[in-house]
Amino acid sequence: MNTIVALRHFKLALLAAFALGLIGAGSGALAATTATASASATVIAPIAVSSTANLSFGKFAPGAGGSVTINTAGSRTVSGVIASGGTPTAATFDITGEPSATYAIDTSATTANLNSGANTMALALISDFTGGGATSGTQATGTLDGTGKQTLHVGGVLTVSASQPNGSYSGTISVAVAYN
Amino acid sequence: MARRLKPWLLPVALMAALAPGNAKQTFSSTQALAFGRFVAGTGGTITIAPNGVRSKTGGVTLLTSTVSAASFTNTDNSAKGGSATVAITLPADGSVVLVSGANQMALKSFTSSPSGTGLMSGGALTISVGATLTVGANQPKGNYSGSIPVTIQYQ
Repeated sequence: MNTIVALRHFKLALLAAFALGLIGAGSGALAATTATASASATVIAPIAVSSTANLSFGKFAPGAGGSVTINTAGSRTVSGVIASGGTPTAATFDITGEPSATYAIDTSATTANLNSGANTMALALISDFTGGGATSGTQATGTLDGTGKQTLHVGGVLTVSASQPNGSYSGTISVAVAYN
Repeated sequence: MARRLKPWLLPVALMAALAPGNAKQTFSSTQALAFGRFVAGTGGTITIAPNGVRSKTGGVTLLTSTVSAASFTNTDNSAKGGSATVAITLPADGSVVLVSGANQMALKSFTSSPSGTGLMSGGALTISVGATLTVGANQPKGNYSGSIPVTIQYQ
């Protein structure tokens, strides 16, 4: 009697197990399942540059010819040339954009010379980010600060010939910036 | 009473022990869709292909950054699921937006690899999903995020 009951239960158990198996397989094999992936995009502030001061070599006489240098702090030194006043200043460019972003600086569109009519003096640039008085070297890349700003200080070296004609000479410094 | 229940317990216990190995099916995301960093400019679109390659149209400027297609993996080691054909349903155009505060950008043109249906192989199927992001002119800066639901249906 006990055996019969046990067998009957065992059969029921097998049926139940079989049904469970089918249901288990069915739920896995036929149901639609949805999963979700996250998606992200980061829009950053555009980068911009504006000129906030001009580069000025001031007044000088050619003397024996040589060069006039404005360092990145705006101080003037001469070699072979006789300085005679004026208001020497370094140029400054304010760059704004995404905080902490790095960027490239392109000054290649700067005029090669300062011109007065047909007369020219060759211009070479000097730059730094501190206005610390550098007299050589240029910056090709920069990093914006935590508020998204940086200032490029630009001086230059002007080559003057002994027979440089008098006149008011001018040119254009071009600073283009682009995110790296 | 306790003795009568014993015959029940044995096969049920067996089923319980075997079930996880027999009919375990999971479908989950294993990688996010990342459009990376860019400047909106005059606006345009950015597309991530299922192979993870990023491209753009219009005035958007792409910056060097880590980008990726979304990835989903279905695993099913049941006898039936192990080599099943699975239909893949991607979100409709405009049904997913990436949000940053009050600002948003819509996603469209979802693509996947495989597309339409996929064949389970060895109990697994990986689905890569890309999409096109529409960027507005002067889209406000920010970190935008959203979620992409992908549905699979066994055939």
